[in-house]
Amino acid sequence: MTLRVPDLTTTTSKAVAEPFIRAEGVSKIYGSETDGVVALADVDLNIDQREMVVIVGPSGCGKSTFMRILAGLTPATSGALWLGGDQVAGPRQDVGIVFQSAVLFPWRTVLENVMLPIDIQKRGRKEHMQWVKDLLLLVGLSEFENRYPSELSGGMQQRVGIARALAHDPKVLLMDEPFGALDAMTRDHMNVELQRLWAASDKTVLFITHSIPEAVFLADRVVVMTPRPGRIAEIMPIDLPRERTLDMMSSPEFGAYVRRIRTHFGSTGALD
Amino acid sequence: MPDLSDIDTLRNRILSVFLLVAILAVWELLVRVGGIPVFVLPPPSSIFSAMWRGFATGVYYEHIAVTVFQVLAGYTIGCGLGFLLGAAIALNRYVAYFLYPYIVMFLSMPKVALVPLIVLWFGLGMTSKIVTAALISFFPLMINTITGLNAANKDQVDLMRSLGASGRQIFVMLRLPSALPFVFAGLEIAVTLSLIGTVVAEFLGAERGLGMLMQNMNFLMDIGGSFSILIILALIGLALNRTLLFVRRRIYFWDKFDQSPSAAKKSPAIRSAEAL
Ligand SMILES: Nc1ncnc2c1ncn2[C@@H]1O[C@H](COP(=O)(O)OP(=O)(O)OP(=O)(O)O)[C@@H](O)[C@H]1O
Ligand SMILES: [Mg+2]
Repeated sequence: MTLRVPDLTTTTSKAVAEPFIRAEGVSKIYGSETDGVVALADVDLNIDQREMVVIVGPSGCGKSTFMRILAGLTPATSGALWLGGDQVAGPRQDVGIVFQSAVLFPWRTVLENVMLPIDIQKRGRKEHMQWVKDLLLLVGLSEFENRYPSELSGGMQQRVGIARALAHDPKVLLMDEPFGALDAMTRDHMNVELQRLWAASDKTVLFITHSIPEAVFLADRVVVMTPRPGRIAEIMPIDLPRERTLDMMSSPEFGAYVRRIRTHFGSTGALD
Repeated sequence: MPDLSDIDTLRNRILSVFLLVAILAVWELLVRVGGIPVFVLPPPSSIFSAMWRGFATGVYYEHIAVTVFQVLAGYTIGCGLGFLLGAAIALNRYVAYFLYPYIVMFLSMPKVALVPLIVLWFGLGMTSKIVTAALISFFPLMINTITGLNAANKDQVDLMRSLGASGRQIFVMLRLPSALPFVFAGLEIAVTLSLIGTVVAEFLGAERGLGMLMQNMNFLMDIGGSFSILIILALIGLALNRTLLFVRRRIYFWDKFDQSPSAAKKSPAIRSAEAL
């Protein structure tokens, strides 16, 4: 598999010049300005290229809203967002999204599902056949390329969703609780796989979760959000070595990070 | 229907034939010995002889052809228009806004009550039957198309939008296939209804057709003949349903994979009783 090797000279110079993703004072009010629901209040966040940033926060704190604004699916009420140099004004073609459920198209085979972005963006199935097959190999589903989604297990379906999110070679991967519906064992496995996949690529990943251990396991930095209105309570760098293993989850350092994040929710106990 | 394929053995098939023969024998015996009047319940033998006569003299063929043609023509026209208007309503909010009141009114009106008027307006020929079948198939298709085109999962729509899909792409690649289960549910309801509608219109006045033939037989007290027509109508309905099922398996092929309790399967947007 030849995922593009990043050009380190440009990444470093870029990181110094300007962050890859920049959110400034992003707020979102659903409904009217006066009596609507404040989903996000004044969020500032910078993300570097190739960074893995994980947002944790209780239900309803605006995590999905932030992701939708970043993807250009929902406009922000105020504030602005830049991605790769240009301001986000609507849906764009260089973002890949993975939702909590796999959101596959049941009438498309696994291969055709992964082809969806290629089809939409008219990039040519023929030219991308090998690329898509490589992606399926990467997520371990080569043997299933001609199966239909409902013939797969939940974890396999979610892997198809991840392969699809990579199909148009986006710069950014947005993942909204992608493993939330999986059992604990499959989930751990998927996290290891995701880390491996991300390390071999040049993708910037924004990952949303309810699970603090999952956040600490994956993140370069964890963004902790408060309940409504959603604000950033703390941005915590995770200085655990890569590549991380499941064994590390029982180490004292790991536990310290988990406890530290949990203090934010101690009173509400809203997280697992 | 429950899945009975596991007990569909040769032995049980033979038993099933025996059961049929036994039922027919008891029926024949009851009528002949039990003294049930022939015009209440004709014996199987008289139904079979009427059937044989009808085909041997060639009388039935023409009427079958006329009825089947009317059903198919009306069904195709009604379903086609129903789909188009349903799509227009689902796609354009203005069309929906201005047409909806009339649709709701027509929907709650029993369509069969219109059949006498249709026969009056369009005469005793085939037109009035085709119009009836079309009118009656129109509504299930329209309603189910509207429901189906709005059934696409929101995350699927967002996913396509996030990739820069155009409205046309979302329609063709997502909304249309998502509507198929509903459209086929509508087609299934409509096929039975268009046969009913055609026969009712034929009862009320026709020059040819199975409904008109059956009406004549009733007047002549040829109840065996009437029963033979009933059997033919049931077979036509069965054949139409089977054909549709065959087409459905080819086009809506992912049905057999779909284990999720799909809304379309559990409750079609329109029930057949409402559609009549
Ligand atoms: N389309 C919408 N219209 C109105 N209110 C909305 C809409 N979407 C979200 N909200 C509200 O905005 C708030 C934040 O929602 P959001 O989905 O972003 O939360 P979340 O952090 O992703 O929660 P969860 O962890 O449960 O997914 C919630 O109070 C929700 O009720
Ligand atoms: Mg959410």
